[in-house]
Amino acid sequence: MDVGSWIRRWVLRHPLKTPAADDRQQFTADVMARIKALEQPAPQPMILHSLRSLRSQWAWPRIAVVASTAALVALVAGRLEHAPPKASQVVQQLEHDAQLLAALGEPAVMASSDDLEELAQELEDYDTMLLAQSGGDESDWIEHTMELLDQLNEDPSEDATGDSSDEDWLRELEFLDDSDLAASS
Amino acid sequence: MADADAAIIEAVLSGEVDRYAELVDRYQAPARQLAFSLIGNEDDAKDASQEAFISAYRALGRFRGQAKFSTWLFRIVVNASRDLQRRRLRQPTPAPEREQAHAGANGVCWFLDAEDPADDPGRQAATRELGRAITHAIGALPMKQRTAFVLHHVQGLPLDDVAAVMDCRLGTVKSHVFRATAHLRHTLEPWMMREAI
Repeated sequence: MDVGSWIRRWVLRHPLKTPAADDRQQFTADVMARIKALEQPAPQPMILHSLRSLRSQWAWPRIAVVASTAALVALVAGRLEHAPPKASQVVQQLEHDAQLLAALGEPAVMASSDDLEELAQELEDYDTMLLAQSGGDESDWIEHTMELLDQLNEDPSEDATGDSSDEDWLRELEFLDDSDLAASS
Repeated sequence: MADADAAIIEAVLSGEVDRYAELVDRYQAPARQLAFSLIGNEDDAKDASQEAFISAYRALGRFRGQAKFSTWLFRIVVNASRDLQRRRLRQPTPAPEREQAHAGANGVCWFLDAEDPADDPGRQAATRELGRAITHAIGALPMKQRTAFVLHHVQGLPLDDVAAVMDCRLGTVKSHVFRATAHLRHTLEPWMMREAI
């Protein structure tokens, strides 16, 4: 007889040991407990949980805060880039240029440090004046322009009323062309 | 049975996790027997089969249903048993204890002591001794031969299913079973002769 068949016959008469009923129940309970533990998320410390819930509740405001911060940074960077150089910076640049000229052997027509301080002060005063003027009304500018036109004896209302028509302009141009032709011949 | 398994699996995947207990109840005995016959230690067999059930649960979404659930589960049990044995071998264990941990070591018997009450005490003792001898002989086989032989001749799986469990070709399984049978014939021949008398 084949040993395989012989063992199979043996197994039929003497089956493999099976776990006891209590042991089986315990085994199933253990497996299911481990599976349930897999299904549930791991417990987290209270502080972490609170912070996470806060983060989830403040999702939209957080985006708004980030966007406004980015806009603010861009604005400040733009202002810094386009800001006019301060008087002290101009003086520093002048000093630097003078040093370069001296290094090249060129006569540097440069004032003393006292003069430079005066220059800086003047530049700052000029900046202040420009700043004060920049806030003026547009009507002041118009009035100033009108005064200049009066000095030149120009009538500002002439063009504004539109008395000179297109035909007048054409006639004038033709006259100019004819006179040019006569002169050239 | 396969349809019933499929219905349970579908229910578990749709969120009825508790129904997985039905599968555990149904297949824990063969799973534990298989692990025990591969490892040879009851506690380790219990651990390996528990791991196998949990791994099967985790991978349940990937179970295609092309094979039977039992075949798929046995494959996981075989892998879990092999992993656990490897871990045990890496542990610094004294040599005598390691010898005891081998499947089918002296004194261990996989089979129920189902003696015939009509038999005389001497015959009953001989039956118990034969059970231990068979256990020891199978346990001494190399792992792949042991797995193939146990699945086919002890668990009663067809050779196709054994190939699916062991994730190898049918010819390879036949070769493992043939070699295992040759080894066992050599070891158990005296017992077979005595039984025949």
